[in-house]
Amino acid sequence: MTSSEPHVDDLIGAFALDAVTETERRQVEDHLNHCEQCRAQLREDTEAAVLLSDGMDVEPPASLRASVLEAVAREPQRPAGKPDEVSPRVGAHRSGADGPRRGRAAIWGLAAAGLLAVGGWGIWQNVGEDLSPTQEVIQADDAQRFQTRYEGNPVTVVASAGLDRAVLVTDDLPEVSGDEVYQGWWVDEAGEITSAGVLDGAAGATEMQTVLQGDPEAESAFALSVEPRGGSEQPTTEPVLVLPLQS
Amino acid sequence: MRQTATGDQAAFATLYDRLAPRVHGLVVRILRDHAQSEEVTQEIFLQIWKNASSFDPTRGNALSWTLTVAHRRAVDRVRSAQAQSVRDEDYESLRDRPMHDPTSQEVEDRWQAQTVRAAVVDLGPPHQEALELAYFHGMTHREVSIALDIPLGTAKTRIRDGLRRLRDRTGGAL
Repeated sequence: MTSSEPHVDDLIGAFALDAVTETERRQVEDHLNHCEQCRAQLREDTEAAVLLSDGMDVEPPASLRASVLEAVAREPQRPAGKPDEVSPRVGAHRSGADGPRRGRAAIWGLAAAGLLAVGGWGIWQNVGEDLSPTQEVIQADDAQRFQTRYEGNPVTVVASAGLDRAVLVTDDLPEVSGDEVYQGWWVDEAGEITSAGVLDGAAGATEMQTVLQGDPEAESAFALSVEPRGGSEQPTTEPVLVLPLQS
Repeated sequence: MRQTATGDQAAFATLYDRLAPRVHGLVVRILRDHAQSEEVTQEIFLQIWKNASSFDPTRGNALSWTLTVAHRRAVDRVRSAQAQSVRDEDYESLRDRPMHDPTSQEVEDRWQAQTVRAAVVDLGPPHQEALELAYFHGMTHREVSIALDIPLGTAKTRIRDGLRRLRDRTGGAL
């Protein structure tokens, strides 16, 4: 990343409204880390965004206040000045990782190089350990990313061994008929196939993130097939894609 | 906010009292479901509490920071798999009723009365629509371009120019 790269001016407004894809977000965040001009622009756009919800106040119920304050009394704060805790985390795979896992991390590191290099900027814009189930995986210290393309669009499995969870990120999967759905599958070394869940609503959706069922830890590949609505016990059609999870 | 960052629960309670209606209003407008909105508003304030030390006043005021956190969180929820089906229906019908959402009519009515709202309306439909779809419907600029049937670059530009004009028209004042 050098200072001669183009500004991201045309995306700052959309970024201020969270109206960007994850890829664009990272692109903007990378740029903001070393561009004072765009940071100033973002500050202005963020202030303008605040105006959009002016006068829309809705008083939350008193019970909510009570439960927030009660939760706060139990919840420790993150100490100041620990940016590491919120910066994602490419190279950092789990200590004590075993052989195959290290292999995966290496692939993932190559594939995702440059994608997650969020520095100081992320602390402000992207606060928090307290993330949704999908973001928890995507931003996990030990997140590993496996990507392929289907019909020109990326299909990505992001897996975290620490969380025992994987997320599938799809973008614009081709439409299927009304009585069909996409279903994910895990395939292990012995060729045994288990369902990773039905992806309702994934067809045609932008940057769709779905938590997959099961633990990818022992699996060799992820596959996607088109199944009758409601899903199948075992795949009934040929997979539309197979994504190996190991080197 | 600074006091909150030192673990001062009383300061946090004051912060909550000041900001909760604004945060909750935004969340309700985005999620259009009261039960879910209450859950998300609670998550937002816990996140604010836990991360208060990362608040940096040189990057914006406390309201701006809090709403940034709140919006991101609510949009994250909208984009999550659980909400997808609801969103799809919503998406389908956007062409027919882009600006009118019955469940938030009450909010809308009050909003209409506001001067800032007048400035938003003043932007004219092209910019106003793009901003509303992006901010309140959790759409990416790409989805905005599809919903409004305009080129991708145009959606981005309308969002950008809409925000900047809004800022100019209100003098950037809060």
